[in-house]
Amino acid sequence: MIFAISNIIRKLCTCILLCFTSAFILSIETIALETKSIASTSLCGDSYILALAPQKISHLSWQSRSLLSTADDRQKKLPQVWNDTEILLNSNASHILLGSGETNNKLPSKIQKIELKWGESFETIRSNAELIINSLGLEKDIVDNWEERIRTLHQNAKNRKFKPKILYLSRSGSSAGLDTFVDAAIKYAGGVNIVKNTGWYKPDPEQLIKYDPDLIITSYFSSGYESVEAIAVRNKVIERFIHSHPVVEIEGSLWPCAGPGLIQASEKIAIAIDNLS
Amino acid sequence: MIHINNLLSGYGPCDVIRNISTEGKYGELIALVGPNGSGKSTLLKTIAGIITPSSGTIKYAGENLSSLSIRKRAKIISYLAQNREAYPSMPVYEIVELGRAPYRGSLGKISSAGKDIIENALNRTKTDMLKNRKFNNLSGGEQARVLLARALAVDAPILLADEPISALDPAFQISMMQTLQNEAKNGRIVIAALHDLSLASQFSNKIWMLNNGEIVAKGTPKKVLSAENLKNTFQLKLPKGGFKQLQLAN
Amino acid sequence: MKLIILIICTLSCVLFSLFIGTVNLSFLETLKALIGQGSETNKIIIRELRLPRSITGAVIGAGLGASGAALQSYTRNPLAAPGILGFTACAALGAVIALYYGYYNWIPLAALVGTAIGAFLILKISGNRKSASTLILAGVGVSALATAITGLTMNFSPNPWALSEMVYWLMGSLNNSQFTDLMICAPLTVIGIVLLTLIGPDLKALSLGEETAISLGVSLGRLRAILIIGSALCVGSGVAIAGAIGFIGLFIPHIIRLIFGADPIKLVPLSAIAGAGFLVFADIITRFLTGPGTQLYLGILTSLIGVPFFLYLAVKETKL
Repeated sequence: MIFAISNIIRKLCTCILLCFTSAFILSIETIALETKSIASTSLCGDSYILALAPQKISHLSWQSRSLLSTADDRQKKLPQVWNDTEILLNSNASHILLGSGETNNKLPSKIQKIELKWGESFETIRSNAELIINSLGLEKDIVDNWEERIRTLHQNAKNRKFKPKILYLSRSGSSAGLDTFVDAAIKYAGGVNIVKNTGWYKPDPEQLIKYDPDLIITSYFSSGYESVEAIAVRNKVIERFIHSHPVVEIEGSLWPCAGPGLIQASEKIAIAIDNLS
Repeated sequence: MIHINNLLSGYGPCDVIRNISTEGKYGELIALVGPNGSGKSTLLKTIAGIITPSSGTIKYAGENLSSLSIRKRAKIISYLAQNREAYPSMPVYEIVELGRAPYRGSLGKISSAGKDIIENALNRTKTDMLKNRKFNNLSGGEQARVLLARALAVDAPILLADEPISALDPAFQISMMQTLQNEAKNGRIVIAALHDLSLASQFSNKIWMLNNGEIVAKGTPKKVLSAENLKNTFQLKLPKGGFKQLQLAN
Repeated sequence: MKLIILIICTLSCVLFSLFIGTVNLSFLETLKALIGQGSETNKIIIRELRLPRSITGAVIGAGLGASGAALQSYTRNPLAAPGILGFTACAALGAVIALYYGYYNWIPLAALVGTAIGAFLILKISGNRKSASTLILAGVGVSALATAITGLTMNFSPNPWALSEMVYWLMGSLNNSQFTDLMICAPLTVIGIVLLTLIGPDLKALSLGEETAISLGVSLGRLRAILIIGSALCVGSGVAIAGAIGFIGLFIPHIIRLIFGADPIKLVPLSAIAGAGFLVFADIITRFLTGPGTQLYLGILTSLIGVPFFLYLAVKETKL
């Protein structure tokens, strides 16, 4: 009899313990969800959240430790994610920032998805930033500061009488024509893009040396991957062509896309233009 | 003379011919006979240096053939293969010219003496009028004669022929055998693997009979092609009196 | 007479290619630039961009033509080409490893080492059996292995876009040819062509069959070794510079055989001359067809010409 009663009591205690444990775990999860955290799956996305919400980052993209990343040493130690549902679920982030062109329909609705848009202008930076700010409920002061810097650039460019012809050349010998974000950066810095083709354009070495720019912007020369495509750093003719003109190297990490770094890139181009005269 | 002593040879781990000990003299046309798989081709290829024997020696003029360079050996032994291969579009003259390969200079240059030998070989095989024809434009018999001319163009003291008359009509067969006989009469040692026992007995001075990789009989055709040998080697039953020779229509 | 016409055709292609490019230069401007007159930019275009491109194309085409002729003569198979013995794949493996792991200056050496390793493997696999069919099978196997290892290596490359870039590189292009590349490629290819020409008489003897060739004093082992070394030098140095350009070694020997006959002593050097002219000609066509910003890859064009020809041969079962 006593044995039976003690058995029942033991079972009852086990049930109560289980209930309390479940409730505790559930509450932790709820708290976690209410504490916002963001994981980025792309290099472009990294540049946005590193500028806008560095304290809220739980995960950076698979490229966060590469030469093109703007993450500092501490941020580089953060775990990495990419657009894989299992990895993203395991991150326990409340917000996922997907790179432009990336989609994921398998994430549960409790996780907020922000999809970056690809764009080729300064307007893109503002619209993408607003998406992130609104989603995370952040203050707009950083974006306002960006707007101010862009206005200053534009004004200085208008005031400058000299509008140099500028050629952009990446490590792979590719250039940027009209309606690209490089073109936008050049324009806002006060230069004129010497390449009149529209879009991202790879000139033949013959066409390249026919250009006569006042300034050459190189990018990814010191920070690119080794590649069969890296002809601009290895072709002796192109090398001579580059060094026979004023050159400024803009780090590739500033502008892998139209992101916050584009403003800084444009500012650097403006300084280089000032140095020409 | 060519002396073969205790020859053991074959392909890879299998020995096809064993305990081969025999010799051949200048002026002899030696017919090598035996059933399929008896080792006739293997023996010829071993003498030619195409197959390296496992043991035993082959000596010519006192010299061990295996100690000679491949080029020197090629000047001593001319080998006519069973397969009749050549570039279909190659002219006959160029094919016969290949017989001078062991003597060629750089980039295949042939001396004028070599050119005479080629002409001679064409004449002896009655293929001189085919000189400019392409190989694939010849009949089977003509192709066989052209390839024999190629073998003669080597001008080697020893001529080995592996089934030179297979798949030829009787006229060509006899013509080929006559040429081989003449070569022997001119001082060469000619060893020819043959299936046709009647032609072998008609034209050869000596016969080596092979069975299961060993020489079971050697000597004159009359001696070798006895009823008992034919029965044991070929499972042929013949009437008493031995092998009857082929009667030629002159 | 036919030989003179062939040489004139090849030289004409090389000369004509100097007048074609993305920048429109007049006939006079081009000539002036060639002799060191005219504007600085034009001189650079003609002497430092177009001239090395044309000469490199001629050298690589010559190597591919010669190695194709030698391989077809050796295997007595009209479908034989440098690609089938795995040289292109092995050279590409060596070059790609050097490139993507940061050793750009070592690419030509790496391509040759890759080809040499592949050749060693082919020799080992085909072993003491010296027949042509065994060699082809060994080549196909080594080619597949090299391609697989290349893909695997690229997966671990620091450059995340290595695999896709490699696809373009493997399509073959003379676009970035420089004199520094030519100084490495040309001597190696010339040595390779010389070696292949020297084995011409042995290859001709081989037309009678392997056994007859041995009886005529041809050392099959030595012949095969020189064939592999010569082909490796020709193909390896070409791949290191311009990526994989296929099919030249397949159909050029056929054209030459139709005109000059099947004699390997003549076939190898003549295929070299014709291969040189043809590759430069194909490169001229790519320059005509290349649009602004979009490049037509040389290997694509040679494949477009070569593959129908290959299928035609396979169906017709042409014999040498």
